[in-house]
Formats: sequence, structure tokens, C-alpha cells
Amino acid sequence: MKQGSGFPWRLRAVYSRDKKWSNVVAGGACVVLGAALVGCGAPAQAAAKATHSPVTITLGGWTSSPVEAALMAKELTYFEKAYPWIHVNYRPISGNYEAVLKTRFVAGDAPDVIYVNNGGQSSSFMKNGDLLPLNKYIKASHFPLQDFFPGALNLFRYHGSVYGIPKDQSPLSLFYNPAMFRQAGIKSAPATWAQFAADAHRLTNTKLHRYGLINSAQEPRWAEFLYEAGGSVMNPAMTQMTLNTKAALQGFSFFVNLYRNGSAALPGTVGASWGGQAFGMQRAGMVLSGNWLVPFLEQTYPKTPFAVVPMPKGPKNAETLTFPVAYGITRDSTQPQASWDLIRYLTSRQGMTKWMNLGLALPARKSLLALPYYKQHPVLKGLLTDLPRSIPWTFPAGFSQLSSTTMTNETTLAIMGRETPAKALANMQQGGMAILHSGS
Amino acid sequence: MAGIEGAGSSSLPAVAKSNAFRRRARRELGVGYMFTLPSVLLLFLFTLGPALYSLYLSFFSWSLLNHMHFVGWKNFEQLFQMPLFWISVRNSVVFALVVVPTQTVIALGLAAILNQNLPARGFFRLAFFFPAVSSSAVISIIFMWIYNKFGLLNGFLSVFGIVGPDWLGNPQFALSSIMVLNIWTTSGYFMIVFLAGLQAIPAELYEASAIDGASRWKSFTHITVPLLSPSTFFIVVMGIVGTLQMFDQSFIMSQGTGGPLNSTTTIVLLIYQFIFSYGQVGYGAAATVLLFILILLATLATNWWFKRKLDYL
Repeated sequence: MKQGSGFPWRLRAVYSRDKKWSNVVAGGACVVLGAALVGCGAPAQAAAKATHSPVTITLGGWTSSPVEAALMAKELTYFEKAYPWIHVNYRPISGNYEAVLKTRFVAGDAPDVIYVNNGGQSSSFMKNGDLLPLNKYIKASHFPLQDFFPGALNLFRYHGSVYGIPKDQSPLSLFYNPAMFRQAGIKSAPATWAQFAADAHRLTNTKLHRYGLINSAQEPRWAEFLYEAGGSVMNPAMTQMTLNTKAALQGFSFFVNLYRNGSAALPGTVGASWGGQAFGMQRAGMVLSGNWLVPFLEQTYPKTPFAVVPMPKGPKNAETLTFPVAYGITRDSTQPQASWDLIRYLTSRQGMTKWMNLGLALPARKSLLALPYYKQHPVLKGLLTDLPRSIPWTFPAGFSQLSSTTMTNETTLAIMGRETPAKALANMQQGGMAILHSGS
Repeated sequence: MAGIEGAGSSSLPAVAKSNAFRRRARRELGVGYMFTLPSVLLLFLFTLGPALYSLYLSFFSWSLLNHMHFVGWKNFEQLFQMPLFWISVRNSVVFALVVVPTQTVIALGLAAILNQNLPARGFFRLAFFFPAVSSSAVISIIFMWIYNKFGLLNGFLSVFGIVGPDWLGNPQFALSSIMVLNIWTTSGYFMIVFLAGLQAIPAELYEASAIDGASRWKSFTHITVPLLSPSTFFIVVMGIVGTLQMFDQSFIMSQGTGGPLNSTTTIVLLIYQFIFSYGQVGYGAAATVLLFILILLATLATNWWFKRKLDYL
């Protein structure tokens, strides 16, 4: 946005108001400007820059806080320094991100570059051709993909094409309150299911409205137990529901029983709207959460002590879920090349390093696990340990109702004791299979 | 136009006069339409147009993102077989059945009391009317704090040794909690309507009934209530339409889920979820059509009921 870019900033201001109309104006101005620069005997570098006509692209995404938005804006100024002919309008979408994005798609006015979320609507976006396949651009710019966690990258692959380059991710780990552990006479964080259940029980004091674990009934808070018991929610190809196995029942029952025997509770029980808030309020000794809880606790509940350890090991595996987010280019983009330049910059080793040093999420690149930042922030060690062995979490297209409502309701019924865990799983299994059979 | 003028000039003066009158009337009509044009355009663009479009969409399968295709009555068939749809209908109807009579009676009571010569009458009128002009979203958030497990309501109850539930987190209480909030916000507005109606009742009727020896309660039930019928009709119809279309309070207080366990899923919230969350625009549009029919029938029934009573007057 500054003078170093070689183009008067005022020109760009005109630009962003109306893409199509000002394209002509600014394009023309650029030629004149380019000629003037050359004519004045400008340095060779400026002349090289002038060969690109200036373009403006829009970046849409969500933000967890104003802090994140400010950091992103800062990141984009670095990009504009490296690519002076590209101006990025950063337009975070507040509220229900994917619902708003869908309406923008319907209007044919989606941002050029968007955050592509795990789960949710991303599978539909890829299936319906709302995102551009990136293979062509990856090939043309020799952008290596080997360094990305394969699972994270696969989440944004559909029928062999890549639709998103992972920007970051956050695995689910166990956050605990060391002060509450000391009070309850527990020496170390739980490493196995048995210890986990025993600690949760010892931490619970219903008179003080304190519980061992507080998490919501949503599926990303219990699915990891299924995998640790050797089960799964769907087969890897996501063509079958696999909730009808013994292992799945074992994992699900373990989660449900924590609530049934009173050592775990739903957030509303302590007046919180989500598990992380209950943990911040010191109503929960433990909570399963991702990296996003770290800045939240530091900002909102600075007095709550916390530490993070990997998910306790299950009877079969030590596994957890991870939630990668990618950058993708929408089909409405008139500037796919400039959009790719932005994505390539932000997801490059350097770009991602800068983003990781802000501490909001964990890297999508394997090589960045060794970042010096993590030596200075040992609290993230538990999350980093969980990262390589975590399962990227998503559902196929057409599953949003099942994953957002049905699964939560069935789990709530099991937690309330109005349904057996087996019955709840059977209902989810049936619901999922019905969607798969209908071929939507 | 030219033809009429030609005919006028060659006819008798009386006919010419009537023609001129008709011409003027027609011109006035045109001017009238010109004046209403902005409103009519807005009505077509934002109300009738979308309504007709949703009728059209109810026969299509569309996810907002794919190509829509015609499916005939299939959306309606699917809806009728869907337990979730019937849950939402039950929630909305129960909500209307509880809220409309309650808020009407409370509004009438408040209006009757505040129509008396009481000290600080203006203050109370303002206090009861205030929720009606406040943002529904803001009020919902305030009530979320009140209904919190450790909120104001449970704090009050604990004085009496009662341990209150998590009002919005408990499927047994969630919808009732929203009903209370809704009654509180709308009663004040309808109170003003009743107040206006009360002031239109001639004082001599009360004087006459007093001379005849009627008690205050008798004159209330035999004069006030019947003569307020037009206001009551308006209030009941607006109440039915408003409650059957309730969305914002459920949406905010359940954080968009209609939970816990679908206990706060109203028809309109389900329509929103179908269209914007689940990518089933056809179901949402079909539910919209059914909601329209439901409201239409309820309004017609109310109309019929009050007409009968008004005729009797």
C-alpha cells in the first residue's frame, strides 16, 4: 500500500470500488505510467514491475478475533511488498461464514480467494465446482506439495484435483488446569483412558459446580475416542458409515459414560456456551480443545492456569482429530493467476512461518514443526505431538444436517440417558447411510 | 385518447361534459397510480415477488450451488414424512397457542390499569412499552444471561432455596423460556393498542351502567371487553402472525441450532436451516408455502370468530 510498490496508491483506491470499470481506467493509467517511468529513465526494476498490469483481488475468510484480522492485514502488506502489482482487499466475513459465502456464490460475487474449512460445506463447494482446481497453477509455478501433511492436503482433494492449499490446522488435545490437579491430589496429566476417567472423577465436585471434563456433545469431541478404540465414523473412502462396529461402540460409550457417571458435563450445566469457556471459568479440570483455546484463555481468562498434553491413549491407538483450513480460488474469480500468487505466497514455507509466528494455529507443513517459535512456547508441545498422528476431520457433501444436528441430538440423548449409546450410534449410522444411498 | 376526444366534440354538450369528467377521473387514476408506484414496486420487489418465487422454488430441488431441477410435489411429500418438520410445526403452534392468549390478556389488563388516573402513569406506560421498541436481538442476549445456569433468575430462585435448571439448555424448559421473553416484549406494544381503543369508548356508557347499579367488574366485562373487539381482533391476528413466524429469539438463544434436542426449532428457523445450512432450498420453500397456508387458515378462523361476535353487537 506504500510508495515502494511503484504505483501511486491513489490509483488503487479507485480500483477497489468497481472491479470491471476501473480495470480499464487503471490498466490504461498503468501503460501511461509505465511509459513515463521508462521515459524518465527509471531503474530497470521498476520497468520490470510495470509489465504486470495492476490487479485487485479480494480475500474472504472468518476471523476468531479482531487481533487475528489485524495480523492478517499485516501479513497482506508483506505480500503487497513482494507483489507490488497485486492489491488485496481483505474482507473477513462475520457471522455464519459458510451461509454467507453460499449467498455470495449464488450472487456470482464470491471473493477471489477464500478460506476453505474442514467439514461443513467444503465438500459441496468442491463437488459443485465452486472452487477452481489448482493443479494447473501448482504445475506451472513448480509448487512442491510434499512438505504438506498428506492428510491435511487430501481433505481438499476431490476426484484427483487439488482445490485448496492448507494454510494451517489445529489438532484436538487435552487442556488441563494444573492448579485444580494439585488440589485434587493428582500428580500428572492422564496418559491413558483409565487415568483420564479416574482423574475426571477426582476433579469433580458438584457442590462447587466443578467437573472433570466439560465439552459439548458435538461429534468432533467424541469421534477421537472411536478411533482410539480402533473404530471409525466412516471408512477412509467415505462411502460407508462404520458406526456399527464393536470398537465404535466402545469408544462412544467411554465418552458417554463420563457424562452418565457425573464426571463430565455439558457447558450449559455451568452456564458456559462452550467447553473452552467453562475451562476458563475454572469449572472444568480438563477440556478437549484445539489451538484456538490458547489465545482465548490468554485474552479472556488470563488467571486460569493451563497446560496442554496429547490426547490420552486409547485401548488400541493414540489418535486425535485435526481441523485443517485451506486457501482456495472461487469460480467467480476474474483474477485466478493473481489469486494463486497470493495463495502461493501465504502457504510457502516463508509465508507460513510468518503466520505460525503469530501463534494462532499450527502449521500445515511438516518441516515447520521444528520452528524456533515452538521452543519459546512450550505450552504448545502437547498439540505439536498430536499433530502428525491426527485425523483430518471432514464429511462428504450432503452431510451438514447429520453432522451439525442429528449427531449432536443423538449424543445428547445418550448423555441424558434417554437412549443407549448403541441406539444412538445405530440412529446415526442409519441417517448417514440414507444420505449415502440417496447419492446427494 | 384521441378517439374519445373526437367523439366528445361531435356529441351533445351533456355527453361531452361526462366525457370530460371521465377523462379527468382517468387522469386522476393515473396520477394516483404514479403516487403509489414506488410502494407498489417495493411490494412486488421485496414481498410479492419473493413470495411467488418461493412458491416456484417449492417444486424444485436445489442446494443454492447446484443446478435446480423440477421435482413436482416431492418436496411436500418428503416434508410430510419428516419428523423434524412436524416437531417444528408442533413447537410453533404450541408457542402461538400459549403466547397469543397470554399476551392479549396481559396487554388488556395493563391497559385497563394504566387507563385509570394513577400516579406516575406515564412512567409505567413507558416502562411497559419499552421492550417493544428495543432490539429483539439485544433483548434475547440479555435474557440469555437471565436464563443462564448461574444467571439472574436462578439467583432469585436460590433465595427461596430452589435450584433452578439451565433454562435454555434443558429441552423441557427452553421453549417456555422463550415464550416468557416473547410475552414480555410484545405485551407492552399491544397494551398501547388497547389503550387507544379504551379511550375511544364513550364515558356515558360507564355512567349509564353505574346508574343501573353495575359493579366495576360487570361494566368491564359487559362494556369494555365487547367494545374493544376491533382492537382485540387486530391484536389476536397480529399475535398469531407474529408467533407463527417467530425466528429471531429461537435463533439467537439456541445459537442457530434450534436445540436442545430441537425443542426450540420453529417452522421459520427450520426453513432457514433448510435453505442456508443444509442446502435443501426446495424443502425450505415448501415449508414456507405450508406456513403461509397455516397462517392464512388461522387468520381466516379468527376473522370468522370475531365477525360473529361483532355482528351480535
